[in-house]
Amino acid sequence: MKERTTSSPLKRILVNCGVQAKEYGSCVAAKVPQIERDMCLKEFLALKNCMQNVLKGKP
Amino acid sequence: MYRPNGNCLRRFLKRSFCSAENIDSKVQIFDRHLKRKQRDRAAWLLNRKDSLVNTVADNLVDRLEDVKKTFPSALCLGGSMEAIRRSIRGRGGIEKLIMMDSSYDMVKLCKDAEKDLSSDNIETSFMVADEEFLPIKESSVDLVISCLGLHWTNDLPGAMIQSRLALKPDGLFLAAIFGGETLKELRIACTIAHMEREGGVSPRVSPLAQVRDAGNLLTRAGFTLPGVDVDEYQVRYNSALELIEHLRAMGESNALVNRIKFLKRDTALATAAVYESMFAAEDGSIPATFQVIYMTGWREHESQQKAKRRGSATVSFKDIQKEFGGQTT
Repeated sequence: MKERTTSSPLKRILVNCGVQAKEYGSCVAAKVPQIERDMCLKEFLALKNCMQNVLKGKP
Repeated sequence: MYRPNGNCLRRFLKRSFCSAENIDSKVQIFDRHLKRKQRDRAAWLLNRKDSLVNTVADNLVDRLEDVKKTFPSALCLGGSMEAIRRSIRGRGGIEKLIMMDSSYDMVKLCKDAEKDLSSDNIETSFMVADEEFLPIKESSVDLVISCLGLHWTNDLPGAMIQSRLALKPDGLFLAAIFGGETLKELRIACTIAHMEREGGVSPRVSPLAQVRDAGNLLTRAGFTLPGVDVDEYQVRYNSALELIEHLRAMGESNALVNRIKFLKRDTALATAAVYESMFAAEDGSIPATFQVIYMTGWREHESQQKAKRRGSATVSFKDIQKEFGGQTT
């Protein structure tokens, strides 16, 4: 994935964590319209983990 | 000091005012102060070549060519005034144009842009005022135009009534506002992501007029010969973030009074992910719907056609049928 130095952290996250974002997105989309809190928690935690890596500066 | 009859006293005072609207019952849906600040920012961010705004403005001004009347004096209310000014190009016979917005920076932007358009021979004046409290003399303008501004008023019928009063008899009111289908994908994605992450819902997209209400709005404001039509534009963005940036540049950010002033980073991330997975096209771009409702109405005048009085028909349908030899029983 491209290393971007854009000023918007959210943009960088979405670019670099595309895979996790897609997994989380499809998990939620599959369960529509029955949405419950934290029903896709696992996928979201993976995404959040990736986000924190990006923000730390991608070690 | 506690006054046990305070309520009764207040009610008595209210009754003695002959105001049409009871101030206490006015619902504050939008934070107008915040909207003004957002529009100040949009004045700097706005892209002159924004295709959505230019298309809507052009479409709106085009309607001036559908009428034989000319409109020597016109009032332009908020929204995308600059796009309207550029789109006029002599249509409608406008000679005097008043540009009005609640945001000082927006008005200044139009004033600065005026230098490039001075070949138009339109005398322009600029005003900073609120659409809900029009400081215009009654029956003084031939045309009131508003492009994508009125959907942020707290009292849309009231604003339309004031516009009608500002119009001369046989004056035209032209408005374009966003309709209920606008940003429905964003609305869905926000709700779903918010529910999954935080378990509740928070309003993120404003309440917007439905097409079926537009006609009622016009008649309620007292306009004659009302006309409503709808256009739906689908705009594609590379990502949900671009959509939000575009909205910000147009001055259309959230300004609801009861918004949650805090968007958690997790929820924003979840919203973007959900939006892209639910609505993305094959090439990865996401669509956003903008439904624009165009409203036209006239101030009453004797020259306008009116519905005939009941019972004044001189020919019956049976005679017409016999004339044309239609199938009858």
